Amino acid sequence: MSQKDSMENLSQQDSQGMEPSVHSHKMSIALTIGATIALMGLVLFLYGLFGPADYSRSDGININLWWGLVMLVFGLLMAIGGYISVRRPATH
Amino acid sequence: MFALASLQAREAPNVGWVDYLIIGIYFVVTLGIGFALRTRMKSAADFFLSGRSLPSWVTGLAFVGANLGALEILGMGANAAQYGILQAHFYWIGAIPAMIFVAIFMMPFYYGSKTHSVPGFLKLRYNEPTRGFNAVTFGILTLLTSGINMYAAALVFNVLLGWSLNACIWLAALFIMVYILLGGLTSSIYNETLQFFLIVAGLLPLTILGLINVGGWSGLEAKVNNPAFFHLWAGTATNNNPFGVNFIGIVLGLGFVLSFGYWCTDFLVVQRALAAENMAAAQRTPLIATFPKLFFPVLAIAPGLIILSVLPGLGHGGGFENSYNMAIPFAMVHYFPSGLLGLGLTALLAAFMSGMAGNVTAFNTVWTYDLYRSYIRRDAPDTHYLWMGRVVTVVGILLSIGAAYLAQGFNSIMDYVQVLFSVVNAPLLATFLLGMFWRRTTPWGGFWGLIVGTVSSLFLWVGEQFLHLFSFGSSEGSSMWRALIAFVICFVVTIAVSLFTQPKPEVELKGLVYSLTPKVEAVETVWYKKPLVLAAAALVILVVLNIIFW
Repeated sequence: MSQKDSMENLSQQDSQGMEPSVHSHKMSIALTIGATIALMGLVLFLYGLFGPADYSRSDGININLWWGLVMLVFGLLMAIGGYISVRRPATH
Repeated sequence: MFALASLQAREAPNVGWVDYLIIGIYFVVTLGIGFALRTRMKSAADFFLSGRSLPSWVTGLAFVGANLGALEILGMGANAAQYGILQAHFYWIGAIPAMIFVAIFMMPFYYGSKTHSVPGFLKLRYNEPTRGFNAVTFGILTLLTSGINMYAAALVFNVLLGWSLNACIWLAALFIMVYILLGGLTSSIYNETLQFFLIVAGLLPLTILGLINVGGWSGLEAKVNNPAFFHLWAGTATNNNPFGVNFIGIVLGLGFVLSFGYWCTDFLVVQRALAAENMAAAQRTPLIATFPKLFFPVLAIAPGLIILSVLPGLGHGGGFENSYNMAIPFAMVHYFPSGLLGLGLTALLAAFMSGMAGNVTAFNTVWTYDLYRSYIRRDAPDTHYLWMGRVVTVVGILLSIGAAYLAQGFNSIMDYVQVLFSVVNAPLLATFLLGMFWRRTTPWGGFWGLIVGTVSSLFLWVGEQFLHLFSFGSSEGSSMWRALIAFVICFVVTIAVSLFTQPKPEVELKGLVYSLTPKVEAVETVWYKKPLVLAAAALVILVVLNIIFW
């Protein structure tokens, strides 16, 4: 009896009726999270440009503008990466 | 009193529409994920194990995300304000070696045995009663932890936004219920991964702005004006340091019992790795998690120190709103303008949510598989267990709300967590180590060791806390000692009983005991994905960081 067989026997009771139905995660998590971060970054960026915020708390740095930009770029890169990996057929 | 009042008035946050807009985006996305996943929750395995289909970077970030709940963030910031950079020991020596150990030595057993939970593994290695006992203690642990998360979240939003405590608790409960019912464990894991990025996005600007404000690292050292707060090991030859524990205590107590106990046996984190798509990905999960863990002190500990220089009154007033627990929320209010403040609040909110959701999904699985299916209804169709998982989500959340009100009775949140841990996880570590590395350990040895270890730890706590029979010193020190004693008692009792009882036949232990499991050939061909390469890289960074901050 191979190692794999014995493991399957061992856990038969535990894993019976637990077969996953569909495997593929078509909605890529990277796309979703990247888009969320980019959207939040965009809101911050626009608020930094046009909003009436008082930046005395942050030593006069318009942190909304700059941090919003960082998040926007990061989120977009992540979303694009996720989009590409969804379209590319699985390699395994 | 006057000083306190004026301090709070000055720190009153001005939360505007843009802040609520960002919080709103978070809520919409999270519920949206739940709805999108809804149609894919067809079988019980989808609901409880994500169909074992997630890539390792997702499970890795969820692994660290499940650990970095809001309690961790509030608590670590608080302790940094209290103990200085010594608190980084919790992230470095107190986490990295254990995470590497889990990946290299324990994951092959967990994932390979195809179990769905830690109690499920105990059943395979020991016997049914051992599983039953652990399932019950673990179920209680998850509910109490979920409750304390709920309570802490309500407190923070009560202090910062002025929402009523009850409204916060019930709103959070309702929200989590909806998205777990829809998406099960996958929903929870997606949210943990999102939360990881949100926490980085919400805390990193805090460190940056704070450091600019106090004049960089050297400016911070000058302002805090306490050299003991800036060395990891230099003051640990004796107990005369902010921790009050010497290097032996740090290495054995924190580095061994506490951290190995947590990372090796806490189903909440292990469950994330079990959802990975294959064995290699499961092994990689804790290793990928080590890298964010290594750099997390930048996000949690630096703001704790910075706020100490800005609000020196923190920790000296009464009540939660002036305790060290508020170090990070107050730092946000102090440095963040409207806009970024919304992002910071969202990060805290997401951390609380995933802390609760993680515990509730772990409770679901343990209840449905290890208690309901084992003792109440054995042979029901799969759809019945899926239905049960949803019902118990509602029940689990209602019980968590009860636990949240119970938590109001405790003075310190961290104390509460440490007590739970020393009673449930510390003895369990001995059961696991003996079971995996000593083939002679018998089913009844494991069972009695675990029971006696858990009960004696509980007795030590009751004896010290309520009967005042003895004292182990400070609350932090006493939990560390209790954990160590419980571990040793479980270890000794397990061995003693094993010597007089019948071991399992070796055939049944294949794949469960180290010496009886054939080594699996390397399945990973890409060099940078190999477990040993990742582990070595994490260790090198660990050593370098410890030397820099010696």
